[in-house]
Amino acid sequence: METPLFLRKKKLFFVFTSAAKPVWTRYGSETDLSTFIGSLAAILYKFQNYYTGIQDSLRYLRTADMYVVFLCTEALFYVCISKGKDSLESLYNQLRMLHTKVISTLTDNITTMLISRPSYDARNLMGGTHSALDYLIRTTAVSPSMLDAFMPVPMLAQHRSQIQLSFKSHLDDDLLYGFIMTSTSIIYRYCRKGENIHHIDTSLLFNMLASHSSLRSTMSWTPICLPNFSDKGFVYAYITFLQDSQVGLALLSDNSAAFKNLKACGDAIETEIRGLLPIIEESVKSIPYSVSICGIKEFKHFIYMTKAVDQYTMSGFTPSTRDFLPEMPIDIYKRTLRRYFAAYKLSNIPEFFKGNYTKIDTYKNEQIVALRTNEYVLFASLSSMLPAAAVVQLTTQLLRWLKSQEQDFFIMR
Amino acid sequence: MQKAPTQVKVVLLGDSGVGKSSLVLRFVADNFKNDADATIGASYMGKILQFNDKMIKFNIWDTAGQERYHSLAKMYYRDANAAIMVYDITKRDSFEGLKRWHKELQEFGPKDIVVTIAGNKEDLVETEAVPQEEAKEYSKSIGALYRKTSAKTNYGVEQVFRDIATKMCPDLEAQAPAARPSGTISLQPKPTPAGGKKKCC
Ligand SMILES: Nc1nc2c(ncn2[C@@H]2O[C@H](COP(=O)(O)OP(=O)(O)O)[C@@H](O)[C@H]2O)c(=O)[nH]1
Ligand SMILES: [Mg+2]
Repeated sequence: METPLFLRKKKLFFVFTSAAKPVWTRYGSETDLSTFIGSLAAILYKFQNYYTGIQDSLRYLRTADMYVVFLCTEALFYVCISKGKDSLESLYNQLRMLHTKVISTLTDNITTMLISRPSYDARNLMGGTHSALDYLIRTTAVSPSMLDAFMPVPMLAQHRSQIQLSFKSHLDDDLLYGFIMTSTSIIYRYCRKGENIHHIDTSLLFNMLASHSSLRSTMSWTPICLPNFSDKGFVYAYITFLQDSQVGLALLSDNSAAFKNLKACGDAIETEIRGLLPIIEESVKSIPYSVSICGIKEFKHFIYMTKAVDQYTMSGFTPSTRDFLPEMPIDIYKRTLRRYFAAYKLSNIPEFFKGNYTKIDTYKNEQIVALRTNEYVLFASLSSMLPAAAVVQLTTQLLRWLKSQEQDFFIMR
Repeated sequence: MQKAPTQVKVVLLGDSGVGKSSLVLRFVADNFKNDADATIGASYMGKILQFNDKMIKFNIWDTAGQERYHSLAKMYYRDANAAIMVYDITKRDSFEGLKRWHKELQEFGPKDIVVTIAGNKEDLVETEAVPQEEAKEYSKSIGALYRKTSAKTNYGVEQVFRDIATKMCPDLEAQAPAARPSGTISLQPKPTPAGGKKKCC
């Protein structure tokens, strides 16, 4: 029998209800796939029968070259079939993010609704989100998700605080969160006093802005559910792009009638930061930045995350400039990322992590250094030829440099 | 000195893919995209048209029309002066869909709202799936204006908005500019017709 076309893809995703009704698939039409999805659902049930009484479900199946990963939520099932080399953690993270995106689109009311009507056809409800879901899969595949953080664009602190100032001087009672971002990067993030904003909610907003080109030609007022703020309802985003630029301004409110107020607030901010546009655009162009900016030629790559803010920064995996070292192609980066994941996983084991964790993993073609304290996480890749003492010394040097740059790398409070 | 423009809120209704956003983009920015990305949430654009001695600012709202955006309906319809119900002349379904949109409009919209039906994609008239007579008849039956448009070729687009303005303010002479200087709209001032005492808008 000939393999259906969609099965030849490297990474498949399926979303369906407990009645095996398709909700979304990455490739192929849901209708063509209904038999296949039916079989996936049958496998899940079959296993569930073996485990009655245990609050668990099938997590994954694997073959020599393939993972089939399952994420079961209350009313929706997510399956990924991957023939790539992605780690289990990374695949789970992608499924969790898919679920988050579904909730972000429909709120958690979809769960209640599907529990009472599992055969409801939810495909239409998700209409118009295909490109956003696909984009989410592509971005999460290469993100260091274990860090629970997002990466802003590096920018001189003095410039970023000018943006901050313009937000602070035009605050509106209705304003909950505010963002300056492009389809590739986050430049500034504002959060109402007394509130918090979760990095996943940040990613969801970023995903929306980055994946819907229609937002670019008009001013929009769009409901979005930010599950970490509340999964029960929508908040509303006023989104506009600064004139003749790729720089977007998003202002969010928990008041659905706040469009006028936020637009006024947005107009004022826009006028004020227009002068900064060249600087913003310049800094957006600066990522991905080359690992060489740290000035230590032994490093091939680094990721640095500080817990004071839920943000990380990392050198590019395809740096445009390569002063010292060959660039790191995407495949190599993905391999390095898998090794970071592995190192981080160990540090999660309580016996290993007692507030301080240092580990050097030596592979054939690189050494991975992982440092984790209560303040920061650092991963870096160096040549496998270096002796351990040198690795330790260089890492200390890198850390010192990163700390000195924090103000520019991150959006500080 | 000109007086401040009269504000007119216009909402677009119609099935997804009929060309609502394209019509707005054509009207506001004189632009057209063959592969327009679907609208998300509701979008807002403004444009001022000059009529004789009067300026009208159209505040145009367009939605994705998806069920999940129902929470927007209240603010979408509130204080709307006019609604443009759009169908795709090559898709019978989209014409049938107007009935549902009209029902929603009656439910949420203000009572005295001006309604226009736009049969869009006029450039594909060879494959027209809805007889024009039928469309006109339906429009009449719900008290709506009717016009064929093409966001692609810019056929009848501005006229839809001029129709609305004239219907709302009968003392306006809604005449399309003879020639369109690119980008700007300048109308020859015309003598205001005497009589029409009805307060505009
Ligand atoms: N041929 C033709 N295509 C059009 C016209 N207006 C819109 N389209 C196309 O129809 C598709 C849907 O248009 P869009 O404006 O997004 O529809 P909406 O969902 O109602 O907002 C897009 O691919 C447009 O390029 C038109 O007048 N003629
Ligand atoms: Mg649209």
